[in-house]
This record gives sequence, structure tokens and C-alpha cells, in this order.
Amino acid sequence: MSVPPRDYSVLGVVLAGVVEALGAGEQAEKAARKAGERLGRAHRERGQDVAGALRERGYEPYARGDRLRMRNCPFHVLSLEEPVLVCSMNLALCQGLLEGLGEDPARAALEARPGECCVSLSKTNVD
Amino acid sequence: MHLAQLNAARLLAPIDDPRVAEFADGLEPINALADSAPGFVWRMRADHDDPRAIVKVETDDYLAFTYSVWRSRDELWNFIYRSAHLEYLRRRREWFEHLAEPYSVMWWIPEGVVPTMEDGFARLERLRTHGPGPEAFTFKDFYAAETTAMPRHISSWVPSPQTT
Repeated sequence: MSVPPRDYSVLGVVLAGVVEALGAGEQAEKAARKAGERLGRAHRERGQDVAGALRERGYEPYARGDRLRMRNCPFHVLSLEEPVLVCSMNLALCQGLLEGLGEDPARAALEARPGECCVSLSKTNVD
Repeated sequence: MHLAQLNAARLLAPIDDPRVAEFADGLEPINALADSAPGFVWRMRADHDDPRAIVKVETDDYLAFTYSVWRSRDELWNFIYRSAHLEYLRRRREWFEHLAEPYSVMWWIPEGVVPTMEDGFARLERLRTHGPGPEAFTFKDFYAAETTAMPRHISSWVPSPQTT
């Protein structure tokens, strides 16, 4: 049995372009924050910690010094088209995720570097 | 060939106004980051004595420019979007107006050439009027540098337009 191909990135790119054209980045970030909170609560109900939730969401987190960095951007294709919007939404999503997990959202910050996710987290003893 | 980029932005207040102070605070560290970034070639400097000065035109205190030359597209991309500079882009709404028309333009220039403000304005105008093309383009509609330039002796064979 084969499943017809799904293509979310083309529509995502189009929608991202519309958000930029409208100057609606602030609303997009608020929506991403809310979505992150919902996801975070779901991960928490399943007993997952921050690193576990990030791993399941495809971020490939790894510890470096006092930060939790992430090797993979789950939104890579979109981030190449609308980097400022997508990275800002990703940060808001990660902050919401922390909130939903019962953690301090301020642990997440932009720390962009080539080839990795734009967000990193400050570490706590439990991570 | 090197890649030139002119970027224009409209501040919500003149650069010495407290409303944009946090942006002005970032000028020195981010300019230093650009100067040491891989692929950086040149940037237009506002004022050697004032680290909080921006490149601007005399007639408009709200228009701020960055003007720079880079070795490659990817190195410019990495500075703009994959460095501490990204945080300032994320917060741009706090300090800049949203511009509906294109505000950033790129073009290829021969190595060693320092671009002029006039050329930059003309490129931006070209992008706004005609859309992206090989002489004025954006990251979204990017044009690679011509790697196989026509040899000089062949170009002289190209017939001149008829004048009859």
C-alpha cells in the first residue's frame, strides 16, 4: 500500500510570505507560543522532560557547556525562505513548549549558528 | 566577483532617541561581528568616532542603511541569519517601521571595487521598479555571478545596432 505524497512545505512557504507581507509577525509569534504551550502540556502528560520533548519533535538536542543546543531545525525548508519569521516563531514555539512543560520559558533564546537550530536553552540540573 | 548588499530601514525615532536606544547599543558589537565574520570584505562606516552612528542620508534622520560587500552568498547569509545579528532582526518591530516595498538589494561587483551610495540607490530603485534580475536581486530571487565572462576578443564581434 502506498500513501499519496504530502507537501506541507510549499503551502507553509506561501503562508509565511503572506504573514511577512502583512507585517503580521507579532500575531504569528503569539500563535506559535500558544501552539508550543499545547504541545508542552501534551508532552508533560506523557511524563516527558524538556530534552525528551525536544528529541521527539526532531530538534536533536545536545549539551554544550551550560547550554542545551539543537542540531536540527524541524522547519529547515521554511527557514530558508523566511528566516526571520520562521526563527522568531520557532523561538516562541520553544518558549511555549517550556511553559507547557512547567519550565521557565526564558530558558530559550536565539543563538543562531550555521547548520543548526537557531534556538538554544539554558541548562538546569535535571536536563 | 563579490556580492554587494544595500539595506534600507525606516527607524521609529532618530538614532539618538531613547526609543531606539537598545538598537543603537547593538551597533558596535554587531558591526564588530560583521567585520570579523567569514567572507566579510567591506562595509560603509558612519563615523569612526561614534560607535552609535548609523549610515544615513542628510535629508532624513529616520532612514538607516547598511551597505556591505561579501565574498559569497552563503557567508552573507550566515552573518545576517545565523549569528547574533538574528536577534536584532527578530526585534526589528521595536525599532523599525514595517516596509511593504523591497528594502534590501544585492548585486555582483568586481573584486576590489568599492560601491557608491548612488549605485546602491539605483539598484534598490531598479529592484522596486522592475523586480529582481541579474543586476538587482534578493535572497529569494537570487542570481548567481556570471562565471564564464565573454572573452574580450569575442565581444568585439558582437555587431553594433543598425543605424539605418
